[in-house]
Amino acid sequence: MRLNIKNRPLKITHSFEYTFNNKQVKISLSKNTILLPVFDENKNRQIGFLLEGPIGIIADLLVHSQEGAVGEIVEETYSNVLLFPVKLPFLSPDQVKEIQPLEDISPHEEIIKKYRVQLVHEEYISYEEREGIMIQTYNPSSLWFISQESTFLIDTEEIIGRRGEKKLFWLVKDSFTTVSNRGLVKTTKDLFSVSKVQKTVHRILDTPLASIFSRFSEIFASI
Amino acid sequence: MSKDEEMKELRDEIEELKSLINNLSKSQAEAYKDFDASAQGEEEKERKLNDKIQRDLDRANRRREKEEQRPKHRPIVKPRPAKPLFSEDDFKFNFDFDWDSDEFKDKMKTIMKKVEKASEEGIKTAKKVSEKISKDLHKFLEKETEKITRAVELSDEDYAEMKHDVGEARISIDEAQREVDEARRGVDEARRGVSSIQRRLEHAYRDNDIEKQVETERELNEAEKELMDSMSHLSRTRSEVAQTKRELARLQRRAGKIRAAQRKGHGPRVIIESKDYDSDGTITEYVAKVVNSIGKNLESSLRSAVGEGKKGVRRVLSIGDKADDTVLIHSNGRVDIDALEKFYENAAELLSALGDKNRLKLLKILEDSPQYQKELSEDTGLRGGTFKHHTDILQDEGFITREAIRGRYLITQLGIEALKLAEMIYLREKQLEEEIDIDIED
Repeated sequence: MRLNIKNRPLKITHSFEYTFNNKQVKISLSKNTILLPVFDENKNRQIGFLLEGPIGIIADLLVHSQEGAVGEIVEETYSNVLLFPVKLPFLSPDQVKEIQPLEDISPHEEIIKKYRVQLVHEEYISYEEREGIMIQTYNPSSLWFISQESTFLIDTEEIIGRRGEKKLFWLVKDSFTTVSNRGLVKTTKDLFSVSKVQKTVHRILDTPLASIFSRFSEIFASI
Repeated sequence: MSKDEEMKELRDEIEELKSLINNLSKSQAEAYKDFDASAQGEEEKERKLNDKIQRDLDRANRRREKEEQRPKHRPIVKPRPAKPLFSEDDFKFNFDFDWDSDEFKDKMKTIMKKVEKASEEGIKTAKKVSEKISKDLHKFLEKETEKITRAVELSDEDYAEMKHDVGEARISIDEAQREVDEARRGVDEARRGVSSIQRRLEHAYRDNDIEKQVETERELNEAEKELMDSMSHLSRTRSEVAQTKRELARLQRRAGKIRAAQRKGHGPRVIIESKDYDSDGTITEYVAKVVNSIGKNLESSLRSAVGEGKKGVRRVLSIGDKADDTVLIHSNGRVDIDALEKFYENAAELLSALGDKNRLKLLKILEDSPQYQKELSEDTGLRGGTFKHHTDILQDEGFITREAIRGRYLITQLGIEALKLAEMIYLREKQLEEEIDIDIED
């Protein structure tokens, strides 16, 4: 998919924090942050936004288990991110305003070229209907999936997912930990299993977004 | 021809004519009748036709009126109910049947033959099956009874043996006790003898009777020797009694084990008067769980920390942070005491974080589920600064953590292990105390 941006910027009028319905993730956006609409070049249809400015994400990716808390609290700040879909739950008309087109849009165009996005936007997930939003960052490269009951983070160091209050899936360097619905913790350091999971996850990264949540559901169902 | 004859002929002719006329009139009447009938039939046909046309017209009119009255939009059509698999007619019997017919009788005979054959086969197979089942059941029962009898015999034997041993031990204790008493009496007598001799010796010294002095001194020496002998005998007997008591305690423990085994269903229940503090195995199970949990973590940390080691180089195990090298245990078990300073410091900090009943209570509450500050504060009775002081200490040492968004407190893996360790030490201490109590009672 080829992405394109249009010079129809929006500006955030005041700093605010937003906690997602799943009570697992909180984002904070600063005043004067600029949002540029991102288009699918082939279909000529807006699919999201390029956010220019600091965005803070705090996520409680830990659950209570029989062996204590498993997981971690992730706290990250990114400078530019792609936000999908167009209808974002934390953006309301009183928080943004349209501004004059930017004088030079070429740096933003350069940034958007660096993103590799595999999306089928016809089947795109809207927050209300399918309960999912995606945040993609370039430097450092990472993917956030946030739904009404789950949160997943895929980055170069680790892959961690929390589903509801009890389930967790955590892959770091050489170990793979899962927490089941009953609070049972399973950790494997068997390299075969770890590499198998890594392969599965990398396969997920190359799949259209519409299928990703179902893939994660499959993984969680098998835990 | 005469007139009479002519008259007769004429009369005959007249008669013939009359009969002809009658016939004619009859046929005429019939003809009229036929005509009338045919006329009536046509009328009726015509009337019927007209009626039919009228009915058709009426029906057409009614249909037209209905169509006019019907609403323009399509009415909701209720789905037709599913056709039943069997209609009621399928279960109705036709009684218009000739029951006495030969065909029916033949059919019935053949059916009866078939039924008889089938029933015979059925009886045969049922017999076979029942025989097989009874055989299997018999075998199973035999096995089970054998098992049960073996278990019963075993436990009965054990119990009888143990009872015998206990009886013997009790007898020997009684005997030893008697011996002790005798020895004690002997010692008392010897003491009394010694004191009387000492008194006599004093009198002899006072009277300056040298012979008496020498004699009493000799007697005193003998009496002291006797006293020493009886005292040594007493101590020997006491040690024998103590040994027998220990033997009795051992037997009682064994009896407890047998009782626990019997409770688990390995035999009949035998009531033995002895204390068993873990009769249902709860403590054993709990300790096993704790040990398993700690062992697993220890194993995984050791596995990750153990270096591969080169040929000819002694392998070194490192507990804790590998880069830190604070605790070094060599494979031959020798501990490098000087390199343990950091371990002492860190371990002391960790243990001091546990050394408060409020903090242990906090950990115990969080073991079940994550809690908000309000709930924790209500449960522990800690408020404001005191609550924060305790939670901060636990958080600093990594025993608990706090959610960034909802702010709930969660116990960490380290916290669970610390809590279990504290519980295990407590239980172990209690167990040791109880063992000492038993020995003292015995």
